[in-house]
Amino acid sequence: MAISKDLVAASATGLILSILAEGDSYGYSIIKRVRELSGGRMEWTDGMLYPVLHRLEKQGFIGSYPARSETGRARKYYRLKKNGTKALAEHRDQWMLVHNTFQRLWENRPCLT
Amino acid sequence: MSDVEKWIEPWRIDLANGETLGDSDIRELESHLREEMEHLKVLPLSDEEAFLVARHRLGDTAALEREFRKINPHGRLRQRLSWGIMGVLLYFAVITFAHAASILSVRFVLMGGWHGYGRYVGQLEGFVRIAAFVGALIALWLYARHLSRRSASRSRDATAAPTLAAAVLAVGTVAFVAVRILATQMVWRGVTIDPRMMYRYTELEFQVAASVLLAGSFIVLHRRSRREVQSQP
Repeated sequence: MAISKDLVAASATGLILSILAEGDSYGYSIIKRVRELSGGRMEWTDGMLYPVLHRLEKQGFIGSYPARSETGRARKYYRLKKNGTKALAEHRDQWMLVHNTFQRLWENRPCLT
Repeated sequence: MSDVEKWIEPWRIDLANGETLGDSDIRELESHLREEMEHLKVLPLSDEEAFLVARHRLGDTAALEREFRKINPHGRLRQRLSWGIMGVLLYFAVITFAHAASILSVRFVLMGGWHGYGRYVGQLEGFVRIAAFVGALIALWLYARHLSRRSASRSRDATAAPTLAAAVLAVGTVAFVAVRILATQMVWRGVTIDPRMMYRYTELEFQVAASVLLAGSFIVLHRRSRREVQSQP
């Protein structure tokens, strides 16, 4: 089962903020983490992550700083800012609301057996 | 150039030829591409196959452009403008240097006690000024060529934009100086002309106007794209 494009796009901000709440990270590692967590079923086109990261940075939710990998490759690390923590809390509330709504709907389905 | 570079370079140039992605965006994507290729090495893939898979996962150029344009509507233009402003500053630096060098050379000649050459001093000042200006332009051109040889894509804006800005300023200045000299000549020959043409600092006005225009459009673009991004969800 693959997740629809719209849903991937809608959840991107929340996912990125949540992963950065675990600690500073960079693009490739964020995508790897999403793949791991979703068991490979949430497939992003890798390049689409960066515009979202840059938008969040411009909105002041996250910051970035340059660093190097063990092999000396230049990387751009992102970290969560105070505003980002607030935004993440709002995101979580919204997603939980959607989640709970679905849950109630589906739990109340009449039992057919 | 190793095989890996042979594939990455055209990919990078392709991205740079678009109008949206800035140098830092391309660097970030390239770092991602290389990391993906490294991770793919555990599979029995050739370097070329690893590159193709990594490139496919990043997304094709058109899609990347589309997504990046949403957050950076005038990215490339803004980068060019900022480099253009650098070019203007460089131009003024060169002019000031040439001016100072010419004055110093005259002082040097006078201090050297070569008073016999007094009638050449005026010409010397002009020659030194021209030589310093031309020399600086040649040095700038050589440096630009060196940069663009090192990487065909990254430094395109960094060389083309300031060169263009400086060239526009230089040509404009020369044109205004020519108009002024012409106007003076015409007065000598008894031709009446618009007194505004005689204004001594016409070329200075042109330089100031060009600089203000460049800096102004940069600020306007910067604010506009910031507003556009902030209004996104």
